[in-house]
Amino acid sequence: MNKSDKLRLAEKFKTDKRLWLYAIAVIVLALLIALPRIVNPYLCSVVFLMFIYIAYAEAWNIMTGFTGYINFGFSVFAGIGGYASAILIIDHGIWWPVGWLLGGVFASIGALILGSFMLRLRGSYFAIGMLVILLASGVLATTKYLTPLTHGGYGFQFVQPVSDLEMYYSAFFISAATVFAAYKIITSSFGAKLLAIREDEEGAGSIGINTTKEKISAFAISGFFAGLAASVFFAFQNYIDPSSAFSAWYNSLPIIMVLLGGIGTLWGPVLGAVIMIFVEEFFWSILPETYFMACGAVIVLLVLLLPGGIITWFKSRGILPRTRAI
Amino acid sequence: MISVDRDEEGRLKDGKNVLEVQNVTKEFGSLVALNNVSIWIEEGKITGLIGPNGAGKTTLFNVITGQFRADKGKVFFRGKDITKLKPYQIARRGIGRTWQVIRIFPNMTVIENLMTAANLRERNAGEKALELLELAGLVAEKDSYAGELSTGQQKFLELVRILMFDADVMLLDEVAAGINPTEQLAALNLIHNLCDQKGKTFFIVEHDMDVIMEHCDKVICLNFGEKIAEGTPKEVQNNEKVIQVYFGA
Repeated sequence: MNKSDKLRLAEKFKTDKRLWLYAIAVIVLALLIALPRIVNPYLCSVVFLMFIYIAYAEAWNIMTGFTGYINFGFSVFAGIGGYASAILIIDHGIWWPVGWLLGGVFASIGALILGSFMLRLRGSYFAIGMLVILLASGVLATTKYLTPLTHGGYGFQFVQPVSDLEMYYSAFFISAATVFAAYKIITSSFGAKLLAIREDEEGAGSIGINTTKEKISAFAISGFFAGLAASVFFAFQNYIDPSSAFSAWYNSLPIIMVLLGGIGTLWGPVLGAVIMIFVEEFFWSILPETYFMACGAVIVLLVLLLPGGIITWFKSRGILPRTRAI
Repeated sequence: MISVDRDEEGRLKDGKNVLEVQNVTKEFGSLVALNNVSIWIEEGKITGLIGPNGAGKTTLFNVITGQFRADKGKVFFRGKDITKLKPYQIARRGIGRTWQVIRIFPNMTVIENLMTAANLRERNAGEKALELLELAGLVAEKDSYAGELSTGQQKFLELVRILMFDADVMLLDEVAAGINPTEQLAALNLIHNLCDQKGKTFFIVEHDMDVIMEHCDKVICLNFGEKIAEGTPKEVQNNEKVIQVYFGA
């Protein structure tokens, strides 16, 4: 670049604020990609977990944030994904990327099947029903009919033939893919129809929207990403059993993260996940026994002060533009 | 003048009635909301529906557009039985409706409200939406949240939204209510425009008698779920039973 080009670029940076945003984004991305080479393995595993949290949060948001149907059964799909991928990879020798993808596919099929009858229920019944299905899943995995498949109540330990680097970059890629999918949905006419369902389902029906079909589609997409991210998560854990697969904590976690960051927005779940990781790590380091409570207190405070989440609050105040792409 | 075949009750033969309700009964437990009601709507005309509150007007609309399923009787649209169809299927066939309490999507922008009603295969949905916004006088507000519009603007939005999916028959529930006379005039002009130039059919519920008298080709009066009068505005206005209902006895 010659001198005049450099001057023009500097001028652009002064006038166009968005260029700063892109520049920061590029730097952050480069940092994340280079991270394994720069920092210690523990810190890497924290960032790895952050990627999983981002994927979980965004996946949950694709269903609940966009359609307004509160999904209290997120762990059903995470659990199906975790089990399916572990069983396929360990017991059947499937190659790990395919195994993980199939984890997502099985979770998605589960969502299609469950959604086809659960989503005909009204909002509150759907919410409670999904919770019941979550509890039932934990029990089902231990019954004698499924135990040969799931290794029963004690679960099973394993080491998947995946390196730490492969896990790290897979989680990075999957979290990016989930956010990208959410972006594609919310800026499309499919997304507009989902938002219409959230606004007024009967009204949406009266203008020709097949609300059942759209809801089930969103549910299936949400389930896919939940299962996919969970597959990586359990690969990292080297262990799966009914209580961890269909865990209540990891069922509530996406809800908390999304409510914190901004429900129904694109970047809200990402923000919520990042904050959650920081809060978790911070409190765990100073209160190893009771960090759950401290996390909860912080979250409750934030939700009380900023209803709908941080990004939603910024949008309502006009600080952030109200476009759907944020 | 083209002569048309009518039967003894004035119904057009050959299914030229775009919308037909045949012997429809709708009950909610022991409450009979509609009792053996039969009406027919002629294409390209404005038909009014009047009656006191609780007469069954909105219930009739709900049965036609599929929110309620008739317990007895049938609904025909262009000769095809639509009684058992779901609301979105009925909408896609070309019946649009507006509501007593406005039902636009408040947290979506004006143009997004229109885009949600667009057909999947519609390539020029964006252009169509802009044309309709011009018709409704809302082009300047296209990126405002629909919830921020005035009542009159929201009514116009609701009205043109059903044109996005090319509704041929439009059921309007109290379109003139809650808006000032200027807006009322504009709304009715729009309705007449669509009727005369595009051959749209309107079936409107109204409480404002002036609107009914001046703008409807035919009026139907309901009371306690039964049709008590039908005919031109003048005929219905002078009908004994109607007078009794509105002015007591």
